[in-house]
Amino acid sequence: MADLVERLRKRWTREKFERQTRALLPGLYRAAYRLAGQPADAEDLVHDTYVKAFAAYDRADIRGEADCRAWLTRIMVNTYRDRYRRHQRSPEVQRSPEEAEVMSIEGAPLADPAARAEDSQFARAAKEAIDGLPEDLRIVVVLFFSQEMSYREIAEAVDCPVGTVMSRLYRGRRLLRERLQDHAPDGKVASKVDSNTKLKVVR
Amino acid sequence: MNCRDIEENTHAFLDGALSDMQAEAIRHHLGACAACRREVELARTLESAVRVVVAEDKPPENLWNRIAGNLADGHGSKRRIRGSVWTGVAAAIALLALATVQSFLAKPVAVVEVPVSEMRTFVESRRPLDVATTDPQQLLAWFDGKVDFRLPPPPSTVKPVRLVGGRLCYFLDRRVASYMYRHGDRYVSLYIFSESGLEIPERVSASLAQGVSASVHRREGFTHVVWVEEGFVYSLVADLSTEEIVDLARGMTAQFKESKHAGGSRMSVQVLG
Ligand SMILES: [Zn+2]
Repeated sequence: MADLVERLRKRWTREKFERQTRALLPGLYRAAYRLAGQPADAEDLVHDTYVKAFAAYDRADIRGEADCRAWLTRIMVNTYRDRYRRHQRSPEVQRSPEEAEVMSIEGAPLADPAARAEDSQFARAAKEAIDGLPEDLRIVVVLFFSQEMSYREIAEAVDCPVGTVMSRLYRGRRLLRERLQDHAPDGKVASKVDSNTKLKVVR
Repeated sequence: MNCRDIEENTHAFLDGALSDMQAEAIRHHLGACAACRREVELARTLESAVRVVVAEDKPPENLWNRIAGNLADGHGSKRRIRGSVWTGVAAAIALLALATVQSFLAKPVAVVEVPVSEMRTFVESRRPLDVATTDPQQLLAWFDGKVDFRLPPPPSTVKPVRLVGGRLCYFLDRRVASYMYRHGDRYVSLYIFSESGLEIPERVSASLAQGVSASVHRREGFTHVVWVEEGFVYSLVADLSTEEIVDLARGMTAQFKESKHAGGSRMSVQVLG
């Protein structure tokens, strides 16, 4: 009896599933964009994810909102791995400190920049830093930042133990930080533009 | 706890994934070690900025319609999705059950921490609002004489939220107006109070409008956006994602600007003076 009640409670109507999953679109798209690298591929990836999910949800054991998101994300990650991996630019490429430095100097705003310009300068650096992560790290980092998923949700989505997620996140976030620490997000690009700023300040 | 331990636990600490005891040990070390404190703050700042950056990628308007046109009806489809997703979930839940959402103050910026605590206390107490109204003018009238500064008219609806009332709060040694909004079954609070004497967090994370930038913080299960305009701190606290709350803050900023332009005589007063 309890079992039956449980099963009835769990069953998703198509309407409910659609309502639930439609709300997930922005987050899935964000993650897809960072995974696939460009808008057209991201759209395809999200599209295929939904098609697969709707073909199978009535057989899946999905209990709530968070489960639903983890499940769709898992489908998306698998689809991505199957299809896009080969087209990926070599994920092992890591920037040398010198290159990173050149990047930050080039991108640094020099004179009285609007907040927008500073944002986009940091944004560019942040996206490049994420894109440059080794594949396994990149996937968990993307899910963590773009969908703000918990360790547990990520573990479900990438099909590995929570401990593995935590160690990948650890390494991924360390790398991000190393690559971004010269790009203070408020445009105060640490010591590098200080010399410029000082020229203006010293009367 | 030494510096090495801190380095290894920074992320879990920022994510609120440590036990009370572990978190306390870290706080203790950070209280005494400026180098670690700087590292942890840097991590926190950069990561919240990264969240804002990725939140800017929005799906095209028509994407859902394109997808919806191709969806199966959910019965008898040939496609097979691999077995149970949920192996190991129980173990994972057990592991994370001890994770408590923590707020941590490496360098406590009261403006960031205090409004979140106030909000959490309010939500947990299930108290009623001090005044319940959906009418901005009525709410303004209610605040009249209760706070010693002139409040901007509260926007009555901003995309997913709608005005439901207000509260008068007292923290950081000052009176604080709280415009209360509703998002589904959740409350959203916009606190407004004087900036004077307060340390404002570096305005890093998000640009809300021309010349208005905000910092975004995650604390105790809430997201908190803080910005300053004309000597007033605006502090928006809700149980929302970074993307949602930054959008909301942008919507509110835009409406404040509009209403100021519509009714504002502030500039001319200054010119006369
Ligand atoms: Zn230390």
